[in-house]
Formats: sequence, C-alpha cells, structure tokens
Amino acid sequence: MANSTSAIARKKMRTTPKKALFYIKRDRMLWLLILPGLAYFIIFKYVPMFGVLMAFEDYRPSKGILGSQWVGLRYFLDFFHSAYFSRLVRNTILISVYSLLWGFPVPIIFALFLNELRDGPFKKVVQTVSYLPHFISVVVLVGMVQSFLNPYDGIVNVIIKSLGGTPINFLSEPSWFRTIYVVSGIWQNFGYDSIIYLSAISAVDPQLYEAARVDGAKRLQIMFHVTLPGILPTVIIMLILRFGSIMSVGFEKVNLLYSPATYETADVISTYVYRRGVLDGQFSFSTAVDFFNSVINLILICTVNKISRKVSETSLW
Amino acid sequence: MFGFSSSRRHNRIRESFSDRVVYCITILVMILVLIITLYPFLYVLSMSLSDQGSVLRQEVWLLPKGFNLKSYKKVFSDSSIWVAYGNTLYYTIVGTIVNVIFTCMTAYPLSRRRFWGRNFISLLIVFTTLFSGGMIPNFLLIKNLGLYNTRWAMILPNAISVFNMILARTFFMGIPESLMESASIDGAGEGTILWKIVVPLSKPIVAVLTLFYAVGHWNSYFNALLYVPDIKLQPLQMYLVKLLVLAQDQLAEGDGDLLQLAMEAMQTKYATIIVVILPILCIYPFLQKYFAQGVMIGAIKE
Amino acid sequence: MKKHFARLLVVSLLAASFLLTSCKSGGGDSSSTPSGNSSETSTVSNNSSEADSSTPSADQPYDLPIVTDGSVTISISSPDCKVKGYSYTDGLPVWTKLEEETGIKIDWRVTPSSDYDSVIQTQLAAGVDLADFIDVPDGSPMKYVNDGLIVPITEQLEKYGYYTKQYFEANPYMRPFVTGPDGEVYFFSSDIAGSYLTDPGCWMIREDWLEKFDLDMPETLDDWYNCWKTFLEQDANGNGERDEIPFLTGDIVSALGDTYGLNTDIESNGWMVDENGKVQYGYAQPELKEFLTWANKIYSEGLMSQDFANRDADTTNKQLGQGLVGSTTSLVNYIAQYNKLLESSNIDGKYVAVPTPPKKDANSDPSIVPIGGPTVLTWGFSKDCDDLDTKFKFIDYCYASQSAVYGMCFGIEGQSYEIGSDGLPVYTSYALDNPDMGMVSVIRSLGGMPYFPFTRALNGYWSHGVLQTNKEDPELTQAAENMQPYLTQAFPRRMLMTEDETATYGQYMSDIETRVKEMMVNFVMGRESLDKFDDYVDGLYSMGLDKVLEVRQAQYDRYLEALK
Repeated sequence: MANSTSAIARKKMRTTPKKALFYIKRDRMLWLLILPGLAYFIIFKYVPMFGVLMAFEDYRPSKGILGSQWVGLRYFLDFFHSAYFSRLVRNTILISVYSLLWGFPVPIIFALFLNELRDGPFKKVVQTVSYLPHFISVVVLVGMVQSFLNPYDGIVNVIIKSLGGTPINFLSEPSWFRTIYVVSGIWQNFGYDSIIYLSAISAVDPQLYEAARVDGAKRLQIMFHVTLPGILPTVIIMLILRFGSIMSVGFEKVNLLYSPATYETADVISTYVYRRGVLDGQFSFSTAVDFFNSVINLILICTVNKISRKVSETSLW
Repeated sequence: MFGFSSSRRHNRIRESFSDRVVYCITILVMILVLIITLYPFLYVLSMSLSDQGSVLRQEVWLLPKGFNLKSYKKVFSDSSIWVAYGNTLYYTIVGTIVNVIFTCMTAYPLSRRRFWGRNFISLLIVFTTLFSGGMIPNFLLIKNLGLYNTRWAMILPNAISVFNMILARTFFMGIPESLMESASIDGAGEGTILWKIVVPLSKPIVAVLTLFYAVGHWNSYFNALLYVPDIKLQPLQMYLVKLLVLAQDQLAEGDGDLLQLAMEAMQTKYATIIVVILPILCIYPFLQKYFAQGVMIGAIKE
Repeated sequence: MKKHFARLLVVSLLAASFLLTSCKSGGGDSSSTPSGNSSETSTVSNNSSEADSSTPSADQPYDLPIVTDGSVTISISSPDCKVKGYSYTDGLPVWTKLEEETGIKIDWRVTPSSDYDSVIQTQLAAGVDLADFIDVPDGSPMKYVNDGLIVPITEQLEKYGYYTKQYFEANPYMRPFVTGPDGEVYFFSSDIAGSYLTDPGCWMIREDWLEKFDLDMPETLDDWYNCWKTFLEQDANGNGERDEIPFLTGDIVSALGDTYGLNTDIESNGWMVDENGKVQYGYAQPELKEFLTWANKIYSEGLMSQDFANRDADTTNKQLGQGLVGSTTSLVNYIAQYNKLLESSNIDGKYVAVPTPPKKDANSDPSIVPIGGPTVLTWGFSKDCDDLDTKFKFIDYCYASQSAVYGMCFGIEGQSYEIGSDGLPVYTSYALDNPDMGMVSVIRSLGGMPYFPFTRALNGYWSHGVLQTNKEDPELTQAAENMQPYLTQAFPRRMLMTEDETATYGQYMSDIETRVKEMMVNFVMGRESLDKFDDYVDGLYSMGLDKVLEVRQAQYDRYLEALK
C-alpha cells in the first residue's frame, strides 16, 4: 500500500511550474508548518556554510570571508604533503571502523536482551544504570581509564599481577590504544544508544509475537525472526548515518588519552589539526581539513546508502 | 497494561525448558552489564568517601575505608551552583519545548506523501550534517542576529537536530495515510487532520524527542562557552568544567597541601558526576511509560 | 611526554600563568640576586623634571585619578580567576582598589582558563566587537598585528608610559620581547625572569635513602646510576618488593639532556647556539645518540618511571606519597611540598636538593639550569579600543606602578601582606597559613597574581614579589642559591616572529615535533633501535628542519641586535 502511494507521489514530482504552484497552494497548511524549520536550516546552516570558502583563501579577519585573498588548494596540498598524512587518515578510519564494528552491534544486542526481561524493577534498574555512563564528561572518563590501567597499581594490572602475569603499560602501547578507545566508548554509550532500538522494538506489531508463539517458536527464534527483522530498518538507517561521520573522530577524547608513545596508532586528523593550529588561529587550514573530511564522509554515506538501497531496500534517501 | 510483555507473561506457563535457560542466561548477562557499568561509579564513590591514608595506600577496591566528607561539602558550598542549575533547567525546558515543536513541524509535512518537494527538502536538510562553515561564520551569525550573550544563543542555534528530525519523520510516516485520506474525504482540512489524528498519536515520538533533546541540553557546554560570556547566564556544565579544571590546576600547581589537593580534585570529579546525573535520572522513568506506548501504535497500524 | 613536567614547572608559585614557554632574559647578570636593587627604585623619578609641559611626555606622571567623572570603562578579555568561587567580574579587592585610584572602570570579559584560547581565537578571527585590552593567544601575536586587530602602542608608551618606561629602564632585557620585528612596541607581557633566581629548577633525592646505603650526593650520571640501582635492588623502602621508582620523570631527555649540552630542557626545548653563533637543534645533534643509549639503559633496567610517556599529576603525587620515589626534578619550592606529602603519609623520609646539577662525567661541566621567560603571555590593545591614550595610562599604571605591582604580587596591604622592617613587603599569616587554601590561591582570591601582565623582574620594586618565594625556608633558599652558578639563559624563543616566520615555523615544526616526541619515547623505551638514529635525523631535515633553523636564526639575530 505504502509502495503504491509513494509511486504516485513520485509521479506527481514531475510537474510543471503551474502544477507545482497548485500543489503548494493546495498544501499551504503544510508549507506554513514547515516554514519555520526551513528558515532555521537556511539561516543557521546554509548561511554560515559560506565559511567553507575559507578553506580556499588566506583568511584575514580584516578583509572578511568574501574579501580575503584566494589561494586555491594551498592548504589542501599542505595537508596532503604532511609527512603524516597517510598515517592520520589510516588511524582515523581504523578507529572509526573499529568503533563501528564493535560498538554498533552492542546497543542492538543489549536492547534485544533487555527486551527479553520481564517488566519489573530489575529491568528498570538495568536500563537506567546502563545509560549512566553517558553523562560522564570525557575528562572524567579518561581520568578513570588512566587510573584503572595504571601500570603500577591500576586495578587491571593488579589483577594481571595476581594471576602471575607481567603488568602491561596499556597507555604507552600503540597496540592497545584502539582497544582502549573503542571499549571505553562502548562502555560509555551502549546504554544510551540502545534507547532508540528499545523504542523501535516497542513499535513492533504484537500480533507478530502472538502468531510466532502460537507456532511454538522459542525465545531466541522470536528474537531473531520477529524482533530483529522488526527493527532492521532502524538499524540500517543508523548504520548509514554512522558512515556519514567516519572521518570525524572527535578531538577531545583522543587528545586526553594519547601520548607520543601511542602516536603511531592514536594520532588522528583532528588531533593533528589541533597541534598545528594551536600555534596560531590557522582557521583556513583547519577549514580545509574539515572540508576534506566532509567530502570523504559525503562519498561514504552516498555509497553506503546506494548499496543499502540495492541490498535491503531500506535507505536514507 | 497493553504491552506485549504483559501478554507474554500470560503465556509464561507454556515456556519450554530451553526458554528458561535462555532467560536465565539473559539475567546473568544483565547482571554482568550492571556490574560493569556500576563498578567504576562505586569505585570512584568509595575513593572519594574514604579517608586519605587508605586512598594513598591503595586499600580501596570496592567499599570505602573510613569516612571523610570534608572537602565534599566544599563543592556544594558555593551558591552560584544554584544559579547555574537554574539556567540549565531553563535551557533544558524551554530549549526542549522549542526543539520538539520545531522538529515536529518540520518532520510532519515531510512525512506526507502528497507534499510536493519533500524529497528535495529532506535531502537539503540531511546535507547540512555533512558540511558546515566552521566556528567563525557561526560566531558572526550569532553576533549579527543579536543573539550573542542572550539566552537564545543557547536555544536557537540547535533548534532542530537532523537525526531527530528523521526520527520524527519516520514516525509520522508510520501513521497510515489511509486514516488521513478517509478523514479528508469526510471533509476535514489539513489542520483538523493534524490536530485530531496526528497529535493524539504522537506521544511516543514526543517522549523520545524530549529525552534526546533534554539530554543534549543537559550536557551542552560549547555554545555557552562561545556565545554566552555572562556568568549569570551560563549552564551547570560550564560551572562544573570550571570546578574540575580549577581543582586539577591547583593540584598541578601544588598550591597548598598536595594530599589535600589530590583528594579535592578527586572528590570534585566525583561530585560533578552526581550533580549532573541525578536530575536527568529523574526524567527517564517519567518518559519511559510513553515509550511503552509504541506498542499501542503498532496495534493501530493495520 | 612533556605534558606533566611542563605543568609542574609552569605553575610555579610565582608564575601565575598557564603556559610557561621560555627564552633567555637579556640584560641582567643572572647570578646576581636582585635584593640589592630595592633602594634605587625610589630614586628613579628624580631625574624627570625637565620635561616640556606643552607636549605630554612620560617623564612626568599623569594625574591620579586619570579620569574624574567615571566616564571611561576599559574592557579586558582574559581567562578568569583561578580560584573556585572567585571571578574578576565580582570586583576583587586588588582591582577595586585600582579602579578607585585611576577612576577607570573595568569590564571583564572572562572565560575559564582551559578554554580561553579557543574562545579568543574565534573572536579574533571574527574580528568584531573586540575588548579593548586582550590576552592574545601566545602562538603568533604578530599575526593579529598584521591582521590589523592589535594596534601599535609605541607612541603612547613614549607619551604616557611613565611607569612602564621606568620599568623597562631598570630591566632592560624586557623591551625587546614586546617589540615587533618592525621596531614598534605592540604588547604587554608578564615578566618572570626574577622567578628563576629564587625558585629555579633542581634535582632532588631522598636523603634518608642515601644515608641508608651510605651513598654520597650524586654528581656524575654514573653516580646517579649507582644511586638508582642501589635504591631499586636493595629495597630502599624496605617493603620486600621491587616497587621503587628510583627516578620519577615524565621526560628524561628534557630532565637530563642538558648534561650533554643539548638544551633539550623545557625552556630552550632543543634550540641552542653553537660556538660560531649558529642556531642548532639539540634534538638533531649527534651527541643525542649517546645520551639516548644511556637513557635506554636507565629505562630498561627499571630505574625510571615506566609510564613516563603518559604521566599525570595524580599519579605523581600518589607515587610520591607512597614513598616509592627516589629522585625527581622540579622547581625548588616543590621540595617542601613533597616533604609535606611524605609527612602526611606517615613516611619517614626527606627530599633534599642535590647541590650540583648532574654532569656527564667527571671531566664535564655540570648541566645548566635554564632561565626561561622573560615574558609569559601576551596582551595587546585591539583596534576596537577608543580613547587609547587614557586606557593606555590605566594599563601603564596597573602594570608598573608600585601600588599596582604590590597589589598583583601580594594582594591587599594589612590583609595579605604588610611592609616589614626592611621596607619590603612580607606576606601575613592570612596568606601563608590560610586554612582554606594555599598562599597563591589566597592572593588570587584577592585579585592578585592575575591573568594580567605583571612583573616578577630582576631589578627594582618590580622584583619584590620574587624575593618572597622560599624566604621562610632556609633549606630552600640554600638550594636555590646552590643553583645560581649554573643558571643560564635559555634560547630567546619568545622573541616575536614575523608572520611569515610563524607560518613557516608552523608549517614544518608541527611535523618535526611530532617526530621528535615520538622517536624520543621509542628510543628510550627501546622500541626503535639506535642504529636508526641517523635515519631519524635525516628525517627531520627532510621534514624541513633547515627552514625552521633559518627562522630561528633570524629570530636570534634580531635578539642580538635588540640587545645592543
């Protein structure tokens, strides 16, 4: 049913200006509704977007964005020619991909299992406790990580020592950095991220459950054959959206967590830009790098969206 | 009452052995999750309550050794924390109301299949998540709009989150078009359809939006930093960050008794967590019951 | 790697600032103590009677209050007061007093110190509606001059800078550092040159451990090695575990690299001048390889902090308080701090300063003890400042008049300080033994030691704040005096660069520094074989080290020129 309606809608899209005017007039109520939102996006998002011009010019506050001297791709080339360019891109993508690979399924699995619990205080407690970590600031989180992983007396190493192992200097080992980053990230966000899936689960048609149960399906079967397919569109959209931020590994956490000992795996684009820009306000340079990231993100999200449309018939657009 | 879980409870007698095994495993896993999530909090809490010697000698693993509240009181002694609290409440409440209204008003037309141009507009909106002009044009915009150093600078620049807008749009699209079509055959205008059919069905999405936006406002900090220099207008997070940084700085400077400073730095760390988490914890159970109504929506769907 | 060490040094009891980068102080003879100069300061104003009254001249003081009708308000952008519960916007006593004396009001535009730079950089880049007087980000102050955001103040200095000019005359090393490459004066800056005299860096060691094993005060690196080895292997803390940290450090190259003459200390950060007057980079010198071989030995034998690459203040204090640490480096005043920490942890032990800095071997000179500064942080007048002349007078008064200098360093007379029998200010017990906070916080809560340019100079009343440090403690005074012969001015890194120089420097140096930091850790930890040392040095040059050296050379040449 929905398909046929959208087919009609699509047909309606190909319209003459006269017809367009007719539709606008017919749906003037809807247009009135959307107007504030549109105005918001134009004023607060599209107007400042002119700022990307700074990436191509030697921005001077006195001359403004429109008046500064045009330097073309200079800042892009600066970035590409950095001795660390390939390492930065690699680290950024790997941290993102690992976060996605390990971090993305956890809230879904958690939501599925939480849904299996009977309603009651235990379920409420688990759910509420699970998103506590979301409210911890990054500074505090990193402080906790540092104290737990301290090679001398951190609890993890105390356990390792008591089991007869040699303590690991986790935060100085490049091979551990991604694990620490990803695991602490999952710990902090899995509960909160599961909210969206939990509410998706509660929108699954109960009749499907009844039917499955009548057919004698087991718990796990119901989970895999009813619940999971029910929330799959949500999962896919979330996945596509995640691909739109692959290049945007945040600066704050990495900066607090890394050290020269772990640059090899930990130095990402945002921390590099910070170190370069810290000397003076190198806004043109950082805008250029942001622009580069955005383009990559755009390409990724489009590709994934296309693949998803072909494979699963669910897509963001 | 209407949740599928209650109907499942109805069927419990028929649960097979394997189902019960799965259920037990689920509970065990959840207990594990509980421990993993709670332990760090317990650890920090115990550390902050224990007497200084025990902390130093690393004797605290689970429960506090000794008892010490001295510098805890310091954290809450400053009256300006209540001003900051008030501001955060204001931004959270007013901001969330603005957010939810704006988001729904944008999402609803985009969910209507008859709405001409909806795909184009949706794409335009999604596009804004990928490209931004950076801090300077935004700062200039806030200045030029006269929002600088006003409460609106905390509310308007983030009036709509694209993610939440998509969420709302998806939800509205789930409302069967047939309901609206039959209403409009009965002569109802768009306004009537919206008010009589859509709004009453929207509680679950409003609940979800409220939670997401409220948490966002609760944690937000950066806008205050850049756009609201007036301390009297700054939110709690800003106040806490200042506390945290000052405690760490003093420790690093070693101005005063180092042991005392170290304890204070740690207790500040912990107190900030409590101060931030407690109120938002109260919101969730309140919203939770509306999430469960997602089930009822499902029931109407066919 | 340097994060922690930097932080310790930075916030010495004297430097009320968050980023202590460095440079050598020019004129003053570093080994002379400034105490003898206090008498001459009061006579400076005597020789100024011949000024032509028609043209204003800084040879005469301006009238106070500067403004009588309260019509002038100066806005100041700066980080906020560093004491919890106190904000400059609340009108702290030191500033209220200055406002009363000058008749000019202050509109503070403050930001938490941790985020100040990102906020002010955005405001400067937007370039609208700037405060009159701005704490400019330290990296490239001249960029803001070239952008037309910061205006020159040479003319105002000559006409109205009555106190500042006196201060520059008494402390001649200062002016070159606030003068741009074009010869115009643009900035005010805090002076920290004096702090190094009474509170220099030092090497400290557990005296009781030395006595326990009948060891002498270490002098050469071999002596140090033997001490450390003994501490670790003979169970210095007697708990039966091999848990001692003989040498606690966040960065051994910075702590001991100067024994090899590499200037890798935190003040020079590797920049050095060879005997031919050419600027060199210590991190690219062949001697570094030998030093790293030694450092690697220290690390792999467990004689230094195994987690040196990622240390934080919490861990440092914890380990000190647990009585695990045999020796470390810090500012002299920290000796008292650390001993107090041992005491309150019921550990029967004592840190003392080692009387001579370590030397490479018996035939070498002891390591230098660097003098940083003289400037720290940079302030300038913005293009949006109207009535610059009047506001300049205000800043001049707050920066260098005796009343203001005492306020900045000591707080409020009768409360946190009084004038002692020798005519010099001394802290009261309100400041020293305050139950609520440490001394620095007390002064800061009154508005002193602010985020505002103030002086802890080498000469004149501008140096009186310095004299107070460690005065109470004869051992610390002695420790500081022991370091005097080795105090050496660091490379003048803080001479202002041209914008092009900054651009070149920024473009190449961030990659180079990344490489250096990373490779130092890798070499010390033995992850990278020292056979690769030559490749590492070649790598630095291929990253553009020679271009950066040119910039540094030009900077140094200008410095020499300015000293003439």
